[in-house]
Amino acid sequence: MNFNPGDLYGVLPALLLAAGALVLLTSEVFLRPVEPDRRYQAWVAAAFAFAGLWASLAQLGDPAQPLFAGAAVSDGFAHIVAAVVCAALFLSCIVAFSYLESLRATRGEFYALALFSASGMCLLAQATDLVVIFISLEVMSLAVYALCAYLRRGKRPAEAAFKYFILGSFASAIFLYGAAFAFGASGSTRLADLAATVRSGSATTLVYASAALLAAGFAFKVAAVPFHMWVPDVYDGAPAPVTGFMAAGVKAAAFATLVRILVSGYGEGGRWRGLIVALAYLTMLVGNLLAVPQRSVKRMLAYSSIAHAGYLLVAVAAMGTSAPRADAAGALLFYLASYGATVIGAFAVVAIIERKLALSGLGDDLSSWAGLSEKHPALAAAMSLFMISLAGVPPTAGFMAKLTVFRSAIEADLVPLAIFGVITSVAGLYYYLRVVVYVYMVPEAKADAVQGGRLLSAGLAIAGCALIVLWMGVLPGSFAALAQSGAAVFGR
Amino acid sequence: MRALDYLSPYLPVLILLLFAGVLCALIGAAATFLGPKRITAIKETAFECGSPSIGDSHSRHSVKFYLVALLFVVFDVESVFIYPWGSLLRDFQAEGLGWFAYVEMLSFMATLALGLVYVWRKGALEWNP
Amino acid sequence: MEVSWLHLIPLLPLAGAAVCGLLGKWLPKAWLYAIALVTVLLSFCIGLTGFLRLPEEVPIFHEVAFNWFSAGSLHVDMGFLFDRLSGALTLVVTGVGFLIHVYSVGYMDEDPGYWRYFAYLNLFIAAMLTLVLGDNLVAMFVGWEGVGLCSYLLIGFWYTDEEKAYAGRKAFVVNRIGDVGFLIGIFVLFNATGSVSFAQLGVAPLTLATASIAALCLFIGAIGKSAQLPLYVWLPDAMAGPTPVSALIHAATMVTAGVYMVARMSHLYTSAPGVLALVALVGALTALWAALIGTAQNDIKRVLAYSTVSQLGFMFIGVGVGAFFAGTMHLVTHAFFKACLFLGSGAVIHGLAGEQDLRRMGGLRKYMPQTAWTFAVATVAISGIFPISGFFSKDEILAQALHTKAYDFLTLGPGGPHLTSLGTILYLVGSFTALITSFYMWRCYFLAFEGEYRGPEGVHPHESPGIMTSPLWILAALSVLSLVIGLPEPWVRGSFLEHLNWEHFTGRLFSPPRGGPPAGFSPWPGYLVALAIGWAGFGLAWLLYAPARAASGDDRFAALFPRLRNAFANKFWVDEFYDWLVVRPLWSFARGLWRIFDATIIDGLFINGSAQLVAWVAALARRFQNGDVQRYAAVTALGVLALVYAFLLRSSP
Repeated sequence: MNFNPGDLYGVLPALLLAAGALVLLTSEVFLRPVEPDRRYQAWVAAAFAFAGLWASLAQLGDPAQPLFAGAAVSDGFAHIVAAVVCAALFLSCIVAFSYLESLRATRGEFYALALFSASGMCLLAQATDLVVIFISLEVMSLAVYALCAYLRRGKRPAEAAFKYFILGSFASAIFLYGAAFAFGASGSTRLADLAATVRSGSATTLVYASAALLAAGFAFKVAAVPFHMWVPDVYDGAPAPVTGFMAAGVKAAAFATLVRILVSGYGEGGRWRGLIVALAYLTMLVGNLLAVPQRSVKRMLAYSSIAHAGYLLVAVAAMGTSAPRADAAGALLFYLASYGATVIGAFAVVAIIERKLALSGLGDDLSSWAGLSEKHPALAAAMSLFMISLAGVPPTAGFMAKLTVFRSAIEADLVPLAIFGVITSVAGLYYYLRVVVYVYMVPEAKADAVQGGRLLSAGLAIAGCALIVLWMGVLPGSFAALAQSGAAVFGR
Repeated sequence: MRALDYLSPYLPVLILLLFAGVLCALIGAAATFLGPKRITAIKETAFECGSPSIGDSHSRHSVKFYLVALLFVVFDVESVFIYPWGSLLRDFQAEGLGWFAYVEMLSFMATLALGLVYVWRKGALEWNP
Repeated sequence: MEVSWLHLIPLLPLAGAAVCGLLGKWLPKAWLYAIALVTVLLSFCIGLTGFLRLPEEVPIFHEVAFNWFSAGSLHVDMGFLFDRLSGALTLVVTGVGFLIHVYSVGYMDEDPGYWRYFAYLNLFIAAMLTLVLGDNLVAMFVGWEGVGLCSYLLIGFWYTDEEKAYAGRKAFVVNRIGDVGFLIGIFVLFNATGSVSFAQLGVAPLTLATASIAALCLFIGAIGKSAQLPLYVWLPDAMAGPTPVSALIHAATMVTAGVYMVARMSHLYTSAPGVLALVALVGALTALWAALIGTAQNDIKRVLAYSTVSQLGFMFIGVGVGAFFAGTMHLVTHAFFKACLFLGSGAVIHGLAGEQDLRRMGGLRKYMPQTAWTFAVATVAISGIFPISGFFSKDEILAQALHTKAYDFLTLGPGGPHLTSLGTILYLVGSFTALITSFYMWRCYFLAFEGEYRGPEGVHPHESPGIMTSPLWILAALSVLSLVIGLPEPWVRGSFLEHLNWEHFTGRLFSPPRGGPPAGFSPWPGYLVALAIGWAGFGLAWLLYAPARAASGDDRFAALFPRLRNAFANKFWVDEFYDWLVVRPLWSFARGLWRIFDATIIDGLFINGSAQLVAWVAALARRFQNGDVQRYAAVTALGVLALVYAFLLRSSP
C-alpha cells in the first residue's frame, strides 16, 4: 500500500466543504451567548461552496486517475457532479439565508450540516470502493436527515425527518447487505475487482444478488418506484430550501454512484439494463400519475422529482450498451444540472410562498398561489419558467435535457422507452401548467403581499436559477460540451 | 447453488444454536411440568433477592441521560480506533509509512477534539443548565 | 446568401416582451404601448426590406446565429432561413400582428393586466417568427411550442376560476398530443438522414416507409396545431381569450403553422404520397364538418372559430393534393380576412358591452357603420364571391384538387392502387363546403348587422374608437388587394403582375409531386362553378334570414327588394316551411354533430375520460401513500425482493 499526498488534491472539493463545515461549527460555539448574530454563516457557507465549485471546475481538465489505491477516482464525471452539488449548495445557502432569517429560525448548525452533506455528495461521486461509498453515503444522508428536521417545532418536519431516517437506514442496510454479497463473491470491495470477477465469467448468483441489492439501495436515494414512498412526505415536511437542495444534490450524487456501481462494477452485461429499463418505465408512469391529483405544490414537486428520476433512469439504461455510453452519460450530467437549477429555483419560490403561509397560517394549497402575478410579476414569471422547464417545453433547460436523454435512448435501441418518456412528459404538463394557471389567476380574495424583507437574496438566487435555466435552454452548447467532456471517461 | 458453499462452514454454528435452543426449552418445560406449585403470599415476596419495588417500573429518565450516553458511546467507539492503530504502528514503520500513520491519527484526533470542544461549548455535557 | 441581420426579426419582439413583462407594471402606459408596437413594426420593416431585396437567382437569405447544441451526432445550429415563403409569412405575422397590436391598444386599454397582455402578445410574435424563420426542425419545434405556450397564456388571460383555466389547459394538452407526434417525427427523420436542417432534409433520399412514418408523425403535430379532425376541439374553446388574440393566434397565424410545416416539408410529403392523400382527406372532412357545425352556432366568435377550422381544412386540401402554393396562398389571404372578421366581432362585442350572442344583436350597421362595412368586405372574401381574394385562393385549391395532380400521384406507393377518384371527391366535398361557408358567414353578417336591434336593454351600441377601426380598414383593404397574388397565371402572363402571382412567385420552392408536372387546364369552368356557389350561399342566407327580419316588422329590406318579397307570398308560411325543411333539420343535425362529437366523444371520453382515469389510478395509488411508515418500508422491501428475484431470474444459467 502506498500513500501519495497528492491524492488529497483529487478530493479537494470534498475537503474544502468539510473544512468549511468544521470552521462553521467551531465558530458557532464561540459566539456571544445572548442573541448571537449568525448571519455571517450563510456567507461563509456560500463562500466555501463557491470555492468547492471553483476547485471542481479547475480539476475538470485533469486526466482521470485513481486515488488512494483505487478507493476513489478523480475524473471528469465526478468533477461535474461535484460542480453541480457545489452550485446547488451555493444557491441553496442564499435561499436559506432569506428563508431562515425571515422565519427567525437561524440557529447554529444549518449551514454546517449542509456543507457536511455536500462533502459527502462530492465524495460519493468519486468513490470506487463499496466501503468508501457507504461512508460517503452516510455522511451525506445523516446530515440531510438532520436538515429535514431543522424546523423542529412543526409536527410535519419531525415526522418527515423520522420517516426519512427510518427508511433511509433501511435502504443503507440493504446497500450494506449487497456490499457484503459483493465482497463474498469477489473477495474485495473495490469496484474494479468486482468488474474483473464479472468479466472472468466466474460470476455467481451471489454477484447478481449483490447487484440487485446495491441498485436497490441507490434506487431508494434517487427515488425510483417502488422505493419512492418516502419522497412526498419528506419533501413536503422539510423546509423548502432544504428540499430544493435535496432534490438537486442528493439526486445528482446518488445517480452518479448508481452509474458508477453499475457501469464500473457490473460492466457491460445487459443484465442490469433490463431492470433499469423496467424501473424507468415504472418510475415515469407512477411519478407522473401521482403528481396529477396533488394540490400542494410541494407534494406535486415531490412526485415530479420521482418522475424526473424516471427520465434520468432512461439515461442510465441507455448506458447499458457500450456504443452510445459516453453520449448517455453526457445526457445524464446535462439533465442533472438542468434539473438541479430548475428545482432549486422552484423551491426557492416555494420557500417565499411557504413563509407567507407560515406567517398567515394558511395551508399549502394551490389556491394560495392565485394572483401571485399581480403582486410579484417577476416571481410569477420565474415560477412559470421553472414549471415550463420541468415540463420540458422549449426554450428551457428542461427541454434540452429531455431531448438529449431521449435521443441517447433511441441510439441505444430503447425506442419504446423513449416514446413512453415523451408521452409521460406530456401528461406531466397537466400538473405543471396548473401552477402556472393559478399564478396568473385573478385572486378571489385580496391577500397580502409577501411580508418581511430579505427577499433580495432569495430573489438573486431565483434570478440566477432562471438565468441558468434559460441559458441551458437557449445556448446549451457550452454546457453540453462540459457534460460531454465529463462523460468521456465512459467512452471506453 | 454455489451460495450454499459459502454458507457451509457455518453449519456447526447452526447445529450448536439448535442444540442450545432445544436444551433450554426442554429444561424449562421439565421444570414447569414436574415441579410442585404451592403459592402463598409469603412465597411471592422478594426474599434476600433485592428490595421490594416502589412505584411504576416504567419510570422516566431525563433526556439528558440519553444525550450524555450517546456522546459517550460516540467518543468511546471513536477512541476504539486508536487501539488497532497502536498495535499496527510498528508494521507501518517497517514499511516506511510511520509518519503517514502518525499524521493520519493526529488529524483524526484533532477532528475528534474539535467535536469535543463543540459538544462542550454547546453545553451538552452540563447536567444542570 | 449569408446575412447577419435575420436574428433581429424575432429578437426585437422578444426584447419588447421582456421589457413589457418585467418592467411593464411600472412603465407609463404610453411607453409600454410604444415599446410593444415599435418593436413589432421594426421587425416588419426589416422583413419588408429583406423581402424586397431577395436576390433573383437564389432567393434565400440565411443566417447561422450560433451553434446551438451538439448532442452526440446531432448538431443543431440556431439558424434562420428567409426565402419567399417564410419571408411572406414574416410579413403577414408582423404586419397583421402590428395591426392587432394597434387594435389592442383600444381594446385592452381598461384592463388592469394590459401590460401582461402586451408582453404575451410580443412573446407570441417572437415565437411565431422563430417558427417561420427557423432553418431546421428543432428550431421550428421551439417556435411551435412557444406559440402554443403563448396561446395558452392568452386564452387564460382572464382566469378567474379553474373552469376557465380548463379551456386553456385543454388547448395546451390537446396540442401536446400533436407535439408528441411532431417530436417523434423529428427523431425518425434524424435517425434516417442524420440531419434536421431543411436544406439537407429537402434533398435527402428517403425510403417510402421512413418518409411515410415521419410524414405521418409530423402531420399528427399539424393536426393538433391546426385544429383538424379529430383534435380540433380546442380551438372553439380557445375563444375564451380576448378577441384580438383570437384574431392573431387562433385565426391568422398560429393555427396555420401546420399548413406551413407541411409546405416547408414538401420534399418529405411528396415522398410519402399515401400520407399526402391522408392530409387532403383529413382537410376535406374537417372543412365540411366544421362548416356544418358553424351553421348552428349563435356565439359570434364560435361561428368564426368553426369557420377557421373549416378554412384550415381547405388549406390542407391544397397542400394535400400537392398544390403547396395553393394551400399557402389561401393561408396568406385567409390571414387578412379572418383577422378582419375577428377584429370586427371584437368591435361588436366591445360596442355591445360584452354581448356575444348573435340573436341579441341585429341592426348594428346603423350604430357602427365602419365595423359593418369592413365585416361585409371580409365576409365577401371568405364566401369566395368574385372578385375578392378568397375567391381566387379557394378556387385555386378546388381547381387543383379537381383537375391536376391528384389524378397522377395520389397512390399508396409505387405500384399501389391509384386513388383516381379522390380528386373528384375532394372537389365535390370542397365545393359543397364552400357553399355552406358562404351561407353561414352571410347568416352571421345578417344577424349581426342587418335588421332590427334586438340587443340588451340599456346598452347603447356605439362605434369603436379610431384606433380600433383603422386596423379594420387596413385589413379589409388587404383582403381586397391580396387578390392580385391569386389571379390565375394565364391572365397575368407577361405583365408586371406576373411577379406577384403566388404560383409563379413560389415556383421553385416546393418539390413537385410525383407523377410529373400538371397538365394544362382551363380555369374557366371551375371559376363559373365557384362564382355560382358563392352567390348561392349568399342567396340561401338571404332567403332564410332576410324574410325572418321582415316578419318581425322590419320592412326596410323588403321595400328595397320588392320582387324578392313578392316571391314569397306568405312570409310566415315561408318562414315555417324553410324552418321545417331546412333550418330545423340542419340545425338539429349540426347541433347533434356538435353534441355527439364535441361534447360527448371528445370532451367526455377523450378529455374528461382520461382525466377520470388518471384520477382513479391516482386515488388507488394514494391508498398506499397514507403516511404510514411501516407500509412504506413494506413496499420498499417488496421492491427489493422483486428486484433481487428479477436479477436472479435473468442471470440464472
